[in-house]
Amino acid sequence: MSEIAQKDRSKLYHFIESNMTIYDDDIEFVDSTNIFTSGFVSSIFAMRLLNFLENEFSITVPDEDIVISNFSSVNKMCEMVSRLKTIEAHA
Amino acid sequence: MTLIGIVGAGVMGVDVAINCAACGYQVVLMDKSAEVIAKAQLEIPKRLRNYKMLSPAYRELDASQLSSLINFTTDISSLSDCPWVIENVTEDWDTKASVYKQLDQICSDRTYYAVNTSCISITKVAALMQYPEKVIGMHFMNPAPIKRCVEAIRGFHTSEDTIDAAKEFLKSLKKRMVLVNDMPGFVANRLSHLFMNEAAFLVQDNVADAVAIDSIFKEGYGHAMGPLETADLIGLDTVVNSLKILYESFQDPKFRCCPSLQKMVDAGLLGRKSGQGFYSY
Repeated sequence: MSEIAQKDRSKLYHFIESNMTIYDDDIEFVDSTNIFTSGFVSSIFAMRLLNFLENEFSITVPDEDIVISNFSSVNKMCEMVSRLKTIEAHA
Repeated sequence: MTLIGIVGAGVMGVDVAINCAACGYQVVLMDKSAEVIAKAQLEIPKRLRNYKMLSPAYRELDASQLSSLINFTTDISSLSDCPWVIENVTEDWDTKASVYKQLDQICSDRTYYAVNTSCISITKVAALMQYPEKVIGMHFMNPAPIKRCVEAIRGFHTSEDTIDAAKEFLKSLKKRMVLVNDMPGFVANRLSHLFMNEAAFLVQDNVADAVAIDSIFKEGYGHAMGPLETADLIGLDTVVNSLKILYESFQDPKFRCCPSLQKMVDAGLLGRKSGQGFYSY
């Protein structure tokens, strides 16, 4: 399975951080943080995440993967992107 | 199958079309610009994918099936047989007036008109029509396919029959109608702009910073967003313009624009779209 490079992970962090609706300096935001339940972003932001991931990583997320749980944390998104890139590489 | 006419194929018009088609209606989506209509055709499958994420009701829908329920046109006369016409053109009086004058010539006394607006007077629109009792405001919230609440506005002439028909129609779209009366800003804009303006005064008066104000709003009152991040999202120039309209309409000092908010706009700090507002982006 292809790995998501650190610089791509950083881009994802930057995109989420620039759209956060919480601005405290002392929040904990790590790879496993659920960005929706933690209140960092609204669920409507998930739609923008879908567009961001498809454009940034040149993938097409199939309909069955368009579920909010696949977009809930940096880890979950990286797992999905990695899986889809592997499938596309073997297609 | 009931035919719903939708005028204006911008962001809101397309979203309302998706909502209607998803609920089983045949839709005529009309825009005077062929370019906008062509873009709308491409936009619908993309938006549907987005809404699949947020609502189980959209998960099972097939994009081609949904698109097949929507007829795209630049010809306003295609709306002549629609029992409902939902108008979504730009929030500009001259643009809206031009559309309603045409609809009045084309449609019959059986047509109900829904004015999708957050600020244009429903009474003034109705005054353009032969059947003003058939005109009602429907302020859909963004994104329309997801947000359940619709602020419905009763104009001076709006009849009880029209209100009942609107309630039934919105129910069929899985919406909940909240009926209010016609006054500038209705409820949504009038309230939200007071909150945003007062929050700007709090920053100006050095009572608290933006983070503290928004935190109290969210964590204390349970709102999804604070007034200042909302202002940044809408655009501070838009907020200032709306405040000016409210001030001029009511001649009430409570709507006076916070001087520091005006100063931010003058300095080009417009919120998210300029990269700097109450927050940096």
